[in-house]
Amino acid sequence: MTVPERSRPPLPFREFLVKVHSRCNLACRYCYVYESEDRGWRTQPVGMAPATAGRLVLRIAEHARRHSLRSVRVILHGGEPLLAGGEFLARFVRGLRAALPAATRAEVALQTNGTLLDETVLRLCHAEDIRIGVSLDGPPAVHDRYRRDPAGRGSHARVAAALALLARPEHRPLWSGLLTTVDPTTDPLTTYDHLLSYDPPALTFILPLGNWTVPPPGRVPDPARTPYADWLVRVFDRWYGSAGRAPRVTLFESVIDLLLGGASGSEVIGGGPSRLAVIDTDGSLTLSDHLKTTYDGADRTGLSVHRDPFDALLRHPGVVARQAGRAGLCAGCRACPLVAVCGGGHYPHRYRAGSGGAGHDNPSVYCPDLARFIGHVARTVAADFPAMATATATAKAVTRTEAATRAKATAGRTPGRRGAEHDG
Amino acid sequence: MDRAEPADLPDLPRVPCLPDLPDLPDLAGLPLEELLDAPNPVLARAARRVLDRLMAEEAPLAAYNSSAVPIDDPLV
Repeated sequence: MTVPERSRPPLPFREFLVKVHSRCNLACRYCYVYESEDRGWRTQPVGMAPATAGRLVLRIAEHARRHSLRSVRVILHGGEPLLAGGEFLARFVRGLRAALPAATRAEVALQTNGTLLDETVLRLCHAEDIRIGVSLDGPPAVHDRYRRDPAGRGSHARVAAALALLARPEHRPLWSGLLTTVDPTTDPLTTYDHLLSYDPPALTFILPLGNWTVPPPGRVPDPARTPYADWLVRVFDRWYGSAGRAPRVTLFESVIDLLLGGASGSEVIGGGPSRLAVIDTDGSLTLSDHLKTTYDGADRTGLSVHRDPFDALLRHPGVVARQAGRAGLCAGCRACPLVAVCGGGHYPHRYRAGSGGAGHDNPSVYCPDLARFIGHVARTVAADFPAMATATATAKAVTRTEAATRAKATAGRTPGRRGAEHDG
Repeated sequence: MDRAEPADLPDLPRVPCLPDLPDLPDLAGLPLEELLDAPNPVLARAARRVLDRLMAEEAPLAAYNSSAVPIDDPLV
């Protein structure tokens, strides 16, 4: 990879993705951990040993103390994290919160396939203050196409039962949302309506992990074809037209925020600096696990919680590259007028093998889809404000500094009557 | 670290990919304060988020793409 010189101090990590278990009780056909280029899972311990977990919480606390972090987010991940068992998870989370400095708050989340979610797990999450995200791709015919157990049985029925439990009023505060992998061959509104039927607080649509060497399904070389944007546009129009009654959608909100001159809250759009560290079950400090889709070993650094502080990972070229912002993009992206919004897209999507050490110096493999989708959102929003849009045709776009000045001038103002909190 | 290049890789696109890119409306010039009263709550909330984040000491976290991540980015 080409890594620009760092012009400012590294940003400390604030997200810690902890692989508490390296295996899964499902065998999803598109899984980036087990079905992609990387084979690292084969040599990982099945579960994180208590000694490794103990060392890890001390390292996170050390990082929080050294950088005076006011909060950290720890995501319990796998494989399937619930295979680690309730006792391990409870001890880990308690140990983490006990080790952190008093001034550092820990936000703990769990990303699960939902098949093992039951009342016992929910009691644990209540007791330890753990938020839960569940993966669901759509109705049974869609979800079970890829998300099956090793015997080939679909998992939809088990996930649906878990979501019915999670949606109960007493458990709903634990629920952070649904994670859905977009399949452009499906009907977008049928999928969207099915997701809505569970009344989730938020939806995260993810584009399948792919790149220029191993393109995502359906992402053909013809830039005029935009199957993923076509899918997203249909859902966006329904969501936008719901006048705020629909759940929050991370990608949609981030694109609107970026178009308005703001910043994205997601790593997949906008090009904000990544502040994520991933810890494997053996204590290895690694880069984003999404890089497993590029080449074998792409996420590995040689660092370990048993030897190295997180500051050592901050100096790794793979972290520097993801904190470089626009300077870390290829020349074509830097010159593109859309870069302020797309930010070059999701880092793993830019990869191309054999680029002479510059594997990520490319546009996103989803560039045509991103351009079409962003353009559609921009026009949809502008259509709500024809007078303003006309006025801005000759207006100089505000910089963030200018906007911040304006923002401070209006500090304390509350949202309009219809701008209250999302009502789900 | 890269793998060998397969022979049949697609050509990289010429950017910009969007033929009508120059016609894109410039929403970054919209007055955020006025958007707070936008008829569509989606936009009103967006304006609120942008204003709040502009006033924050640092940009929001470009969070890991996961539904486990609360969308409000309370991390400060």
